[in-house]
Amino acid sequence: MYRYDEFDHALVQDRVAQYRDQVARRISGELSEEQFRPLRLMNGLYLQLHAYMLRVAIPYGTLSSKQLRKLAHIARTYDKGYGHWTTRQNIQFNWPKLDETPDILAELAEVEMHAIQTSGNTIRNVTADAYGGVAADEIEDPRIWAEIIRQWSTLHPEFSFLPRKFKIAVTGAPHDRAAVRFHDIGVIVKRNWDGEIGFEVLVGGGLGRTPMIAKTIRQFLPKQHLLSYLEAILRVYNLIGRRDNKYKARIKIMVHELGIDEVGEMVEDEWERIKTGELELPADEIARIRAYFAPPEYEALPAEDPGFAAKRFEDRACAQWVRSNVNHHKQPGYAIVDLSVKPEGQPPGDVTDAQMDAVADLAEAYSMDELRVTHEQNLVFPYVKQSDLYELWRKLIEQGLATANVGLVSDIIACPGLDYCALANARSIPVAQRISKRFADLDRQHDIGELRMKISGCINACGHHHVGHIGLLGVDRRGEEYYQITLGGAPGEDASVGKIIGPAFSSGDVVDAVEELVNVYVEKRREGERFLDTYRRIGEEPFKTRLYEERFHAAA
Amino acid sequence: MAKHVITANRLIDGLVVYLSASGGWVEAVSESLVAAAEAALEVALETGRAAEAGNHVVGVYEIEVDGSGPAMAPVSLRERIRAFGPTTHPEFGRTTESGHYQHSDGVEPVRFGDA
Ligand code: SF4
Repeated sequence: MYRYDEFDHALVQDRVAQYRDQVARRISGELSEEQFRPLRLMNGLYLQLHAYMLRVAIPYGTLSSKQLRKLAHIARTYDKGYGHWTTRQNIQFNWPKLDETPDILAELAEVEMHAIQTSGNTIRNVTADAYGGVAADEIEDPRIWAEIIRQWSTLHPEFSFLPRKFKIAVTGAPHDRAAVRFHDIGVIVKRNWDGEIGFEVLVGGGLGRTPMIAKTIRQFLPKQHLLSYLEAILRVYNLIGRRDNKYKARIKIMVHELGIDEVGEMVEDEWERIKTGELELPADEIARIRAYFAPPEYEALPAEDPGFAAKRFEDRACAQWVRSNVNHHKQPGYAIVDLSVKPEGQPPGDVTDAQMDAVADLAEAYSMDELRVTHEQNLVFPYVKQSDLYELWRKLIEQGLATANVGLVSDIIACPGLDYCALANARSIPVAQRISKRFADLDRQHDIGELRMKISGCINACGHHHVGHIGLLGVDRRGEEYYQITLGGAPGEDASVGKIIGPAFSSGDVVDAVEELVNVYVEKRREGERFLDTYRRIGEEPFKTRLYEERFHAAA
Repeated sequence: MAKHVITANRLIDGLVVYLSASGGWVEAVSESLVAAAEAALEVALETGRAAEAGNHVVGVYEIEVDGSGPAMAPVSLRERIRAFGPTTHPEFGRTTESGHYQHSDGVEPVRFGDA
């Protein structure tokens, strides 16, 4: 794992001291809210419906057990015993007190964590494939590059006041688990015809009120030029991105208005000027960062552990869990384990302090002290020996983290919605809870198969509803909560934006409507088809007919 | 005029508070100062704004309420959630009314520890 160097330590300590002073001045009345607001936001502190909310950065979602224990301690000491994993692989605390936030940041600094650039019009926490370094289909660990980008973008003086927030994601594998096509910049590690490793760079993706799929701006970028090329993109955007209209300020609008070719030319021009300058990455610097992500000391094991294969055969529940929550590992005899933070009927992505402590212990015992946070609000143990799987599974059950539903209909992404968020139209979490209960039968969920269900409480789309196979968007109809349904969205390499299927459903009807959509799929699917495949083959009509003509006559 | 009360978030902990008759800020909406006429609302808002200028609270505004005494509650869902807490976590809430924790088809969310 990456460890802070002296520079990082000093920077974070300075920031805590500076922030402590700012908070003191706010409390004494020396600073007004207007003056203080941008300062607190720079340190990840929002004011939401019920209280302040602190968002802590977890670069590319990688955590050590020690760091997780610290987060547990913070949840227990400064919050109500909970943390919430976000869709940017971060954690949010929903109840910190203003006067205690400097202490929280100081505690975080002890374990090399902070809340810098988790808000504001800056380059936000860089995300990466949560299976980085271990995925069987990976070309290279994306976290090496995410870390290089993190160092470059942290407190980058030129990019502290961009036209709007800016999100970058990196994948090291062709199968895109990081939704890179829905980021301001997406970086895909790739090989060229000569077998050299470099990057495909995409630009202008995003969700929100104008969802867009990113376009390729460069088919192949040699490694050493990563930062100079990103800098060139950011410079062009910083200069001509629209600052006059918040809704048109993201780079996706710039790319859309000017076209990818014109933006590409401008970027190339800028890049020509700077590519051989100080941003060119020397090979020894890349090697230095790479060393932090060197594979751990794996044991030499057979590809399949015979003991576990037998257990799996005997225990049906365990086999079911393996099917949905355990993935292929690069290293023979090892497995990647997803911990579901979506237990039946509970708020997606919430964890208690006790669970965090328990997970930290389990990661220490079974995953070489390391875990990951996924953008789907789950956790991952990246280094589990197959021979440990059965025992780990039993222990995860005790913690309520072994629900065999990863990638299935109850593995729902939901934004905080009206229960916490000041911008919301409608609640998201209770709808997720109800859907999760409706489909509680795991056999049924496994029969339905992969189904990405995503819910946002307003058009800002923090719940990624546009890329849900089924997406729900909360709307306000004369003070009542309604939900618009979109179908056919996909976040990965087969990216698509979901289409609105018709008039919105009341809160009372929306879970029934979702169930009907699933029923249509089950009736129409062909062998091996996921919900998304069937939808793409048969189109929206059968789904529409079922909802608006057969089932809910009065819905419109 | 419909009944209104003044609300804000307290500076020090961010919690939702309401202006009380004594000019202080209370956490229970049922203990807030009710303005039922334009003039009274204006005065209450002025008091609230002064508290904001004095850095006790942040984001002062008025909301409509219904009922009286302990049964007083905001009219809009957003404000009911502010007054009584998230509908998903009864242990964070400010009310024990189970209705607050039910979504519209009457399903009550479960808590960690329940099973
Ligand atoms: S999508 Fe809207 S309601 Fe949900 S968290 Fe984002 S801003 Fe809030």
